[in-house]
Amino acid sequence: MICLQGASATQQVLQAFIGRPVRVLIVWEPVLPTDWGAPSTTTLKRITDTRAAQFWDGGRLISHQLGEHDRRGIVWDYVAVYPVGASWNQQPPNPLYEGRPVIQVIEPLRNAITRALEGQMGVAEFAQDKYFEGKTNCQGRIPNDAGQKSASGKFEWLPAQPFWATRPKSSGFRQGGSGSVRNF
Amino acid sequence: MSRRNYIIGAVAALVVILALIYFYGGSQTPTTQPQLVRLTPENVAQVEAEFNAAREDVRLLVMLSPT
Repeated sequence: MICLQGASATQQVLQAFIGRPVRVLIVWEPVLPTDWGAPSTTTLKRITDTRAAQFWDGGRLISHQLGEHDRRGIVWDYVAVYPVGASWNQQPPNPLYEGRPVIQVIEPLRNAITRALEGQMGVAEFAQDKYFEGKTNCQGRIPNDAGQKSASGKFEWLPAQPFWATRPKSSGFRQGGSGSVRNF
Repeated sequence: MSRRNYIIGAVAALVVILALIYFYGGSQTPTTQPQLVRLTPENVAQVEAEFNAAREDVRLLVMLSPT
């Protein structure tokens, strides 16, 4: 149900950007034991925005493209923001922002969309983003030095354990929101 | 079966039926959106195509479980 709350919250965020050039791809996928089939009409109506396209990914094909290798690595209850001009070639491009669970990253998501629309996701803001420090992204990569440029003048990403692999078992998969912002 | 048990059973059955309708009652998207696309290895590139077709927009990818 938290996932469904994330859908409703996404719809609320979209309402704040009516008339702006935003496109939304909603991918529903089976994760929970109750996910027997495609989302119901009631579920699909949680996202009413005309800029949205909805998909049922019964084989979690997109999750695999995002880095799922085993059950622990399923990419779900997840949102990513991509900048104008980014292209999907075989696999999704690096997002400007990504976070999960959706219901708990609504504010940073709203901020990321705002900044993406304004073309302000520059290095300076990236360095100051309060949601960035100490976070890992869905592919288990973290910045080499939070808020600092590398010698090349760009932020570099290093391998790390995915955040869902490091969560305490007792805390459950759905607790604690996290997100990260990337320089693009 | 007592009348009380009969009522409890009927209410429970009604709740189950309503839950089944809520979660599994067809898959119709809102009328202002395209039909739900069921992804397969053959048509998964449709997501990529939709994504790239909106290259001039900021794009959101949202991954959710339906229940």
